[in-house]
Amino acid sequence: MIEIRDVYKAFGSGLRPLQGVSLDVPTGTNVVVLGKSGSGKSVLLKSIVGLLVPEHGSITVAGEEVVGADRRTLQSIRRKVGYVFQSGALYDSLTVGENLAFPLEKTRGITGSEARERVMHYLEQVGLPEKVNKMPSELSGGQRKRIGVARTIITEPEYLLYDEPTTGLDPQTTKEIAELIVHLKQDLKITAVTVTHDPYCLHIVADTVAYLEEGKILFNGTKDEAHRSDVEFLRIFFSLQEHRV
Amino acid sequence: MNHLKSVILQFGSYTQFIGRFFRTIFTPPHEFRQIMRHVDDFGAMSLPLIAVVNFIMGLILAMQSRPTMEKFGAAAFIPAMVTISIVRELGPVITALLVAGRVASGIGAELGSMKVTEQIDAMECSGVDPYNYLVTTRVIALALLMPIITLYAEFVGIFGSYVAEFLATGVTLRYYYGQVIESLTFVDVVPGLLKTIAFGFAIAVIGAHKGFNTDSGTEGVGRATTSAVVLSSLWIILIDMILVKVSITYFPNP
Ligand SMILES: Nc1ncnc2c1ncn2[C@@H]1O[C@H](COP(=O)(O)OP(=O)(O)O)[C@@H](O)[C@H]1O
Ligand SMILES: [Mg+2]
Repeated sequence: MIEIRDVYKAFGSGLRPLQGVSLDVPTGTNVVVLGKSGSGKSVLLKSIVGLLVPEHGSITVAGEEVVGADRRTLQSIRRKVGYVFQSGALYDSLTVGENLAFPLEKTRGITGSEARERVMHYLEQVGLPEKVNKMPSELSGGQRKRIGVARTIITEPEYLLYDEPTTGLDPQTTKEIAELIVHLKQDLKITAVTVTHDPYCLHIVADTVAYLEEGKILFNGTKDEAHRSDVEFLRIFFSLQEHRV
Repeated sequence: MNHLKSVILQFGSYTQFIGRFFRTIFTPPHEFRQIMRHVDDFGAMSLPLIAVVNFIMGLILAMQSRPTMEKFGAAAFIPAMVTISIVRELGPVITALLVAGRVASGIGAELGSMKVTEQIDAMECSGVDPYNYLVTTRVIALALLMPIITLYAEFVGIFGSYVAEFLATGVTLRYYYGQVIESLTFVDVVPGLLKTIAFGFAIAVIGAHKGFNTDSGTEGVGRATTSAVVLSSLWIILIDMILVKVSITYFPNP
């Protein structure tokens, strides 16, 4: 369970992306967060893992407080939480295989043949085992995102934060990644927060939907409720979906 | 007023950045493999340029001093004079400025692009301290490497001056190096090499700080790269000035 209570985050530039955000992510569910570009969705995800520190409020992951946590506590929280970055965030000086082995070696102490087996297993999960010796620069955007997912799930986190996992991908890759998210949730019982602009992705991964605007969660409910909502963004969002699906 | 504030903020930010270096350097994990990789990279990046520039510098120095020295009947002192100039001042400073151009920009660009593509965030999330893994290793690598490449640069520079002298007088290499060695003392060489450790530290810290604080996409990376070179070159000169003063006080010319 992730509990976000009354979180405020501002930047030196005067931007105030979060102004009292509260949101619950019950264990085993996938909450999709919608919001305009620049509304603070990534800031919210980064606050959950302590990459950004809110000035006010509380965020707990499995009961552990993130805001103001010391390094040790943060380490222990981050072992449970995987973060799938928007662009994949692959280390570009390492091969695909080394990227996957990195968190295994550095934080789990797994090396050698056991690491190699795990790397190949997770590359197969994302359908790219043949890329193991490629450099990230040799991959397409979609492949990079899939490898990013593999590197995140290789340490078997209980929670996953997906930042726009399907943005900018072709329909087929979008479908594959969305299905992978669903599959991970069902097989590994992963609790997740997914930021997306993609109606299809929302359609198949969301248990509930939250809408972020002007620093607050303006809507929080089921997909059906979201469909019927009179929040303008949601109306437009779902009317687009009807054209597509 | 705003300007003063930003200078103070910058100063605070650097103090914190350097403080983090001294905290990580004494706590495990120590990334020896990364350090060796950077030593390799930085060396490969800068050695060819350093060789060419120092060779030509030594050559010019000898060529230019010959007419004047001859006029005073002091041509025999050319090896000693050129050597002292190179070893005490020109070798360390020119090498450091060249390394600043190559390596500070390289570090700024590499870490800057890692920052804007969220690789640094990703590393932090996976439980690895990106400062220790990316910054501390580079600072140590460059601080270790600087005296070595400077020594190499000085050899090449002195060889350049020999070539000029050989063309002018046909002096043998053996005789010339004999003159060079005779003119050198411990206090000429060692303070010069020691200060390059400070140069290497400054270059890597500034490059990494610029990279780590890159924002707003790819233009940000460009800015980080350029300002890393400008600022580290400036600091080389400042540090040099301070250390020359110190070394004149503590190692007076015999
Ligand atoms: N580290 C940061 N420093 C300053 N401003 C930031 C930082 N991260 C994000 N912002 C700003 O906060 C706002 C929200 O950003 P973000 O959460 O990335 O939006 P999105 O909802 O599109 O993911 C943007 O205006 C962005 O420029
Ligand atoms: Mg975002």
